[in-house]
Order: sequence, then structure tokens, then C-alpha cells
Amino acid sequence: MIAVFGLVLGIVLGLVVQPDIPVVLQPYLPIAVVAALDTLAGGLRASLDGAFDAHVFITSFLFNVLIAAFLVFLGDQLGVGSQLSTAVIVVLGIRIFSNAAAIRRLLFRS
Amino acid sequence: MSEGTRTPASRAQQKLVWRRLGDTLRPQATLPQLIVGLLCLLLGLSIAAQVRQTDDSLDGASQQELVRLLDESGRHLTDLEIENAQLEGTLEALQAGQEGDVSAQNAAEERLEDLEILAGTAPAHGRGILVTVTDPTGELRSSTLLGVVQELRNAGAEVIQIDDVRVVASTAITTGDDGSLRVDGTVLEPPYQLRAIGDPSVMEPALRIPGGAADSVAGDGGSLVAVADDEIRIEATVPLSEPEHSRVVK
Repeated sequence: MIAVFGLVLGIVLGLVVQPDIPVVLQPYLPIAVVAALDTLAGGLRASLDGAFDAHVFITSFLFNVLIAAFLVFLGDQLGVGSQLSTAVIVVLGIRIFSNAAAIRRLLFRS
Repeated sequence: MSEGTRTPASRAQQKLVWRRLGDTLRPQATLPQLIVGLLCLLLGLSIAAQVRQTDDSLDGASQQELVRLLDESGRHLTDLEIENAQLEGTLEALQAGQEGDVSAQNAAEERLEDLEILAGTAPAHGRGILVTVTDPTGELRSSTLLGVVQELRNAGAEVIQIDDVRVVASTAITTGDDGSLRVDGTVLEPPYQLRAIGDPSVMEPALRIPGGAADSVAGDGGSLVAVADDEIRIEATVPLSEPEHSRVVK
């Protein structure tokens, strides 16, 4: 509940305050957001499985975000920034879809 | 990814899942839950910020896109500069043509004015002298009056008028049957007034040369008085006659 509340509060806060993203973070934020969404979906599925562990969730959240940002950074350095970003987005998208499918099956048995 | 999660086998198991969902959504003020909430808050903040950022057309653009845009605008700029140079060239050519036309027209107008004054078809004004020749005895000869006119011409008179007759190249001063003086057929009544446009300081002394025009007039029993004037107006004109036989050599 606190998680949902935090998410909604964050979105509202972002719309109201309209923070400026530091230039250094600008290329990484979109991928990081997608990675975080993937972790969120994974966490929800784990909790429905009865296997949710807050510590695992927190570490995986931070780790996924950092790895996603690092991959984008690496891609930029190697000159394949857009391709690698696309690759990361595709993988994360697949994971989000499979997690969502698992959640759906758990809740509705279909 | 989906391994390890199976579809619940029975209704009871599904109920368990739903209860877990309820548990998940129930507020729990434990530290890990708070941290999860905090992370989610950050996530929401990032989403909102990112969505807003993407609205700005250029801020969210990647380096490659920006380079492409820069290239495009640079190309566009080059095209426009080339077009600008062409248009400026055209403008210059047109202006040069116009200037040429204008100067040619001005020169032609000036030449026309000069020729009009020379031919006597246009009125003229300027500084000059007013010469009054009296003839109390009526014995002034036409050659004497012609001498006055020639003296004025020699002294640089540009336009000359005798009474109301403009003196031009073809002007003749004759003596009529009754002894009166005629200029181009017009009978003159003494005293005769000659207006001449030119340099007064040259024309006036020229008339007074010993044995010159003034003396000739005095010899015929008349007198000659020349007065310099800053504004002599010569209104008389002669009609222009088309040359019938002569043609300009080109």
C-alpha cells in the first residue's frame, strides 16, 4: 500500500514541482524508469507468489536501475548508444509482459 | 521468467493469492516497506519528470538526432545563403541598370536644356547686362546694332534678346524700306533694349572698348548704356523649324 501511495505521490509531486533533470542523468533516466517498472512488476508477482522479500526487492530495484543506466552509458561510449538502448528496452519490455502475464494467471487462473 | 509461477490449481489456492494481494496492499509501517515506498516515490517522480522532459522537442533528443538537426539546419542555411547571394546579385544588376538609365536620362535632359537655350526655343534667366541703345536721330544703322550683338557674343553672351525678339544663330538685323530697324522682320522702336545673359564683368567693358560698339553707336548719333543685373530674364523664344534637307551624320 505504501508502495502504491508512494508511486502516486511521486507522480503528483513531479507534475506539481516539475523538477529539472540534471543534464548528466538525462540520457539514462528513460531506461532507468523502464528498469524500475520491470522490478516493480517482478515485486508484485513475487508478493502474489508469497515469495516477496523487501530486501530482495530493494536491492534488485537499485541494481536493475544501475545496470540499465550503465548499459546505456557503455553503449554511448562504444558508439552504439541507440542500439543498446533499444536492446535494453526490448528485454525489459519482455520481462514486464511476462511478469504481467504471471500476475494475471495468478489472480484470474487464466 | 514465468517458471516457478504456476496457475493456481484450485479455488482455495486462488483465494490465497487474492489474500496475498490484499496483504501486499495493506499499509505496513515496517522499514523495508517504507524504503520500497520511497523508491516508488522516486520512480513516480522520474516518470513525471521524464514525461515532461519528452514534451520539450529538443531536450529529450539524442545526440545523433541533434547532430542530424544541426546538419539539416546548416544545409538549409547554406541554401538560403546561396539564394540570398543570387537575389543580391539580381538586385545589384537591376539597380545598376536603373542607375544607368537615370544617369542617361539626366544627361539627356541636361543636353536638351543646353540645346534649347542655344536654339532659343526655351526661356532662360541668369546674370547678365541690360543694354539700352538710344537713337534720337534715327540714323542708327543695322550694321551698328549687329556690331553690338557681335560684341556681346564675343564677350561670351549666351542668350541675347533685342526688345521682344530672341537672337539666335539665324537672326538677321536688317533695315526696312522706311529706314526702320528690323530683327527677323520685327520692326524695332527706339530706344532699343538688349538683354544678354553672360558674365557682366566681361560684357560691359567689351562694349566700351575704344572704337568698339559704344563708339560706333555714338558715331551714328545714338548712345549706349549698359547696366549689369544679377537676374536677367529672357522670355522670348523662337519656334523650332524642322530641318528639311539636312540629316545628322551618324
